[in-house]
Amino acid sequence: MSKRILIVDDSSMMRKMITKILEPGGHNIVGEAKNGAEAVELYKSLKPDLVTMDITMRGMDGFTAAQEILRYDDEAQIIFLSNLDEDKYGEDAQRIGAVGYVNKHKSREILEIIDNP
Amino acid sequence: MTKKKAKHYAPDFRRKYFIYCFLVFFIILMAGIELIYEVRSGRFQEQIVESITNRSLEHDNSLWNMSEAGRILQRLQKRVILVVAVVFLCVVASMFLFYRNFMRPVDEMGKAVYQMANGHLGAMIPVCSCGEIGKMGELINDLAINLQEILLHVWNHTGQDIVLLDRIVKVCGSKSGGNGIPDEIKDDLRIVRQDIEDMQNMVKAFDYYNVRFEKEKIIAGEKHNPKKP
Repeated sequence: MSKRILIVDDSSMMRKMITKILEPGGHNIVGEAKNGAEAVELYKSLKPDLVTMDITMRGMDGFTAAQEILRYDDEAQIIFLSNLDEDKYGEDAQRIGAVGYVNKHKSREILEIIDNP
Repeated sequence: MTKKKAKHYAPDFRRKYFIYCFLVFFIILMAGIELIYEVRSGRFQEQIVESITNRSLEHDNSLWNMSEAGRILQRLQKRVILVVAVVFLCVVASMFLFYRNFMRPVDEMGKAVYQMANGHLGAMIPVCSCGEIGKMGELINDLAINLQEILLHVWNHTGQDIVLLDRIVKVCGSKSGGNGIPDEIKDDLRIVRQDIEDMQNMVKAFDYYNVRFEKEKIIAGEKHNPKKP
């Protein structure tokens, strides 16, 4: 099923790459944010079905932004997409309430999580 | 013949700008002082009075009031001082504005770009304006962020490749009584592994924004400590 997705990443190249993975999968990219603060604002205005969230960003980081979004909407669907070690940060992501954690070099796995939540 | 190594320094726009400002102020100040000194000098006053007197002799002498001429001269002196002071203040103000809006951001940008060029990708250009300089700073920051992303991507991929390579060697080596891999292939695999390790060393040579390497893993820096819900 097609989903409205908000991409949050400080790297423009990475945002493009995620778009290229998600769009052929039939999903609709409704917005892009380059830091946590922008992500929270865009989430409130766009109300996307899903958010892909980077962790290390200038300004507000991904964990803080995810917590803010989940405080605003406890049913928000957030998938972390990061270069950081999955074993260490995957648990943190789960504890915060995210639906998944994908390492960026395996970003195609994100489609599996979206299609099989 | 010994090779001389070229030294590279961070661009220092401020120093050059201050030298330039000092020269401009010095020239304006000197020109102003000379002008004021000339107008206030007795020789200048005498020359004007002499010129007026000569002319007045040609006409009706009684029509000329010398004290009036003195007052006009004094007014002229005051006006010259005022004009010099206003010009000086205007130059100071315009140089200050130029420094604040142009030189300081360009100088900060130069220093941050120097840091980035030396592999410190965590160095960011402070973007404090929406003007052209601010936009340029933002674009350079984006370049550094993208480069960090590419390098960390390379790190993760190469790390995974080393694991796979080691597994291939182990599995093939254990087959056929440990003689599963021909010697040439063993050498090739060793070269491939070495190349991958070289690539990882290159990635490690950079400093990253809020990220560090710990036991071959990428760990977030101090700024990321998710609070317990």
